[in-house]
Amino acid sequence: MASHGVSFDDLYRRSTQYRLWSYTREQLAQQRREVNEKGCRKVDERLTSTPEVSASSIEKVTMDEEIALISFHARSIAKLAKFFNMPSQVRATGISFFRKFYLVNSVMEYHPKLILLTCLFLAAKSENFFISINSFSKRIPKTTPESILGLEFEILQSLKFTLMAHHPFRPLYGFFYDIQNVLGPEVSTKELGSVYDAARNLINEALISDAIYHFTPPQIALACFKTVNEELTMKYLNKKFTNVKVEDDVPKSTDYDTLVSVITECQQVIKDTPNPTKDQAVMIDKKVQFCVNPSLVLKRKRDTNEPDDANKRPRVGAVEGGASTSP
Amino acid sequence: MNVDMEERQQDMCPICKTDRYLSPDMKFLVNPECYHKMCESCVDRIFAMGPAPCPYPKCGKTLRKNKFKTQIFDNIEVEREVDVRKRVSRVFNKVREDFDTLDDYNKYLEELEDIVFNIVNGVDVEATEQKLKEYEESNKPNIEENNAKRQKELEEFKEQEQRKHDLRMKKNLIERQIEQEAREMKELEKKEIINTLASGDGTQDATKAVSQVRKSMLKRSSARRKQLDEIMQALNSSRQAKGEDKKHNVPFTPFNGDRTSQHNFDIHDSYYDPFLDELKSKKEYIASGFEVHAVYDRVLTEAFTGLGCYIEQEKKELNDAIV
Amino acid sequence: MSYTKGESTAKKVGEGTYAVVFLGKQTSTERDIAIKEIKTGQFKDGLDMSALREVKYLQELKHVNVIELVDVFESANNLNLVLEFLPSDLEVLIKDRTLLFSPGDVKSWLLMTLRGVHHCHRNFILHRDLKPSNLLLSQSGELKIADFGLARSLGSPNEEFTSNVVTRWYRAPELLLGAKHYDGGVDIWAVGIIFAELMLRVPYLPGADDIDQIDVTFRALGTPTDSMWELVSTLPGYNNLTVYPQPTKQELRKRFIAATESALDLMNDGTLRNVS
Repeated sequence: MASHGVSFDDLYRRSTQYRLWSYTREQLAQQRREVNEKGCRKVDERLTSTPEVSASSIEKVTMDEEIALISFHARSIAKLAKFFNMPSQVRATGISFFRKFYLVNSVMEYHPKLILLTCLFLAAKSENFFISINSFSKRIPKTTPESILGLEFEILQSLKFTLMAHHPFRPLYGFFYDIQNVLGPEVSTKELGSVYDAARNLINEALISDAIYHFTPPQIALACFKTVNEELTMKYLNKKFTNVKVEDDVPKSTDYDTLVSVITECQQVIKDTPNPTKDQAVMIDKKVQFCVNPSLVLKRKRDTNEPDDANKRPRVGAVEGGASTSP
Repeated sequence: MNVDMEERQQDMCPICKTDRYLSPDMKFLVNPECYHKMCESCVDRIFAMGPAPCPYPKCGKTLRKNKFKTQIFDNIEVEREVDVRKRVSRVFNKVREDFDTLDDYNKYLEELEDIVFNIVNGVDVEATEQKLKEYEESNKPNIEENNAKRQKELEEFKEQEQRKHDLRMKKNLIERQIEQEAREMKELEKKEIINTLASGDGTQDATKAVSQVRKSMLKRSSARRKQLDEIMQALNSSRQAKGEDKKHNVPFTPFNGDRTSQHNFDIHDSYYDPFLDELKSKKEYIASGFEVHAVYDRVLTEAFTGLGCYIEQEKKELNDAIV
Repeated sequence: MSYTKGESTAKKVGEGTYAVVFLGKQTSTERDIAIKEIKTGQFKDGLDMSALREVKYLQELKHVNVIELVDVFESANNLNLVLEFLPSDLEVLIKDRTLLFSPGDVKSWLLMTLRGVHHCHRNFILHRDLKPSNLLLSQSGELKIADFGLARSLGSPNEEFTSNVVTRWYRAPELLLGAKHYDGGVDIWAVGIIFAELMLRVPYLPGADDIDQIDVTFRALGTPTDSMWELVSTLPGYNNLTVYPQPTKQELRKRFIAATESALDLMNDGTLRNVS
């Protein structure tokens, strides 16, 4: 091992992203189960301290509903990042922090709407796109600097103080070059350019999926390429990774068949990204609100005569950047 | 008080009582037999005819003129001990390298010390001297061999020092020559520029002329520099020739086993990239030393960092190992 | 992880990171550690940026020549960084005139520094504050790079970096002139200056302020011109500069009497702008 030195794959294996935030499917599911159970226990705790509320009136959020809600709010982060003209790196890191937070905590413990704000703010700081807390919170209705800053520690702890996130953007860029290298005149720059642009957009989808937990950034990048243009990608992979001259000191880590199957799996995971509708999200959100604050149920009971109108409920997460309706 | 005594002793010979005032160049000698000090003229006078008894009262040891020497150390005891050591060491002349283990060497040293101690402090002097004599006789060839070795080493050392000195002289000379040539080059350049300007051929030729001058000068200076390097190398290697580095059998590697292995890609000189094309022509980028090659290197490296990490497989293995 | 707080030595650590440092022992390994308690409330926008940077990068950079971040925890609303404790640093050694540096010593320190910097750079992280007081030394003589409060990852090509980084005396010319798109070269420059200081035993380019630093640097190493450094004159800081000539090799030799030719070349490589 010493004679080979260190490979780049080895360097990746030293990153916190690999060590702490990479899971098998089973491990991830197990983790979510435990988090959901933790959330349920928290709700029970709250119920015991509010005896006037009956346990049966509070519906707990299921694991799948948690995932759906997180996905929905992750997209909100993307929109918010665009609103603040933040670069893709900040946007992606913000989403990464947010999703990781909810691998450790349940939505029933912390309502997503403030968490997502602090995650984005923290991501901006971490990625050197500094924005002052005042200018940040000023443009988000119904928020105060204190409420956002107050959650910083909580989020850092849930992140286990790991702030470095590796995204697929740069690997995508790298493959954009290497494809030119390997395929040369077989691919037109125009075609490659448009494939690249489409793949880059797809990465934004991938960031919201579980891909980042089961696959490495380069694999995700290639999966996106493959989804956009299967033929081109396979041509590249074929030419690059088959008939590879195995030199003595270059470890043969990329076996063609394994790589292709991994990339194909990744494509599927990206496709399976939950994409709940607004209404679905609002419905789950309502549940969350009651879980977080059981006494709200009593308020609802009081207003029993009024129809269950979504519009009457307090707006969740000022996503549209200023669009506020009911007080 | 003692200081006065010593000073007086330095100023007056106890035998002839000559004062330094009367003979300012008076020098004192001692004889290793009894270490009694007397002035040079006394030594000449008393022992010119051959061995005679020491003039000090109560001494009377038979002394030879040629054994007299200048006292090196102020403390006569130290002088005595050093003389004894010299004598014994001529017989016990092995060095550390002659022994297989540190223990053996230490035993040898202890033997030497015992003998010296005995002689210096007058303990069993006769028996010890006998022992010394016997040792010398039984190890005669070995002793002579060692002596020859030491002699050779000393000569080699002297030679080396001389060589180093010569090299250093040469180095200084070459450095001065380089400096001189640099100055000359500057002068020549100036002259060339003036000449070509004067001949009215336009500035284009002036720069050409300058570069010509530079080229020829460069050739010379690079030759000089090579010479300098060779000298420096010679200087450095002579330092290492001692074999001190033989102990370190582990070869030195700059990365200490941490070198990153080769890339899985080639980097071309340029790629189709409208985004970078726009940036790299901007003044602030060029002035900052921005290089597109660095961007190629980075994103290509990232593309292949982790490509071969199969998380599902690897994390499962890790998990199984723990459980 | 539990730690026993040993003698509590409260002292301000550097500028910018307002922290209190405690010395202690890690109970599980009996290892000496330093707990840097970062006071919140100093930075009006939440958690201090340099603290975040230290945490972010030290978590990723595990190397024998980079200081180890053993743990991070929160206590009493303060962020605590648990770092390995190193008793000395290069600045202390350089200033101690009773110590003689052999060429081997200088070589080994420089080598360890370069290994550490190489590890940072191959992870695309710039340190941006290399100086002798940030090169810590362990009991056994291992050198480790510390203080990542100014570090950052190399970003996208179109990102602008601040040029106000690196402690003045070790600041590369592109930074002095206000360049916003620099790279790892700024770290290598600092290593070159540190090398010079190791040979001279005094700081090589001590400027009194930012303007003076430009003057001191160019006086010693020559003012860059457009012919050797493309478009340097367009940089924001390139105003009314005295054009000093490049030093001749002989002048450098005179300044660094202890240096061998190869040492001078090494220092030159570190401090010359390779623009071609």
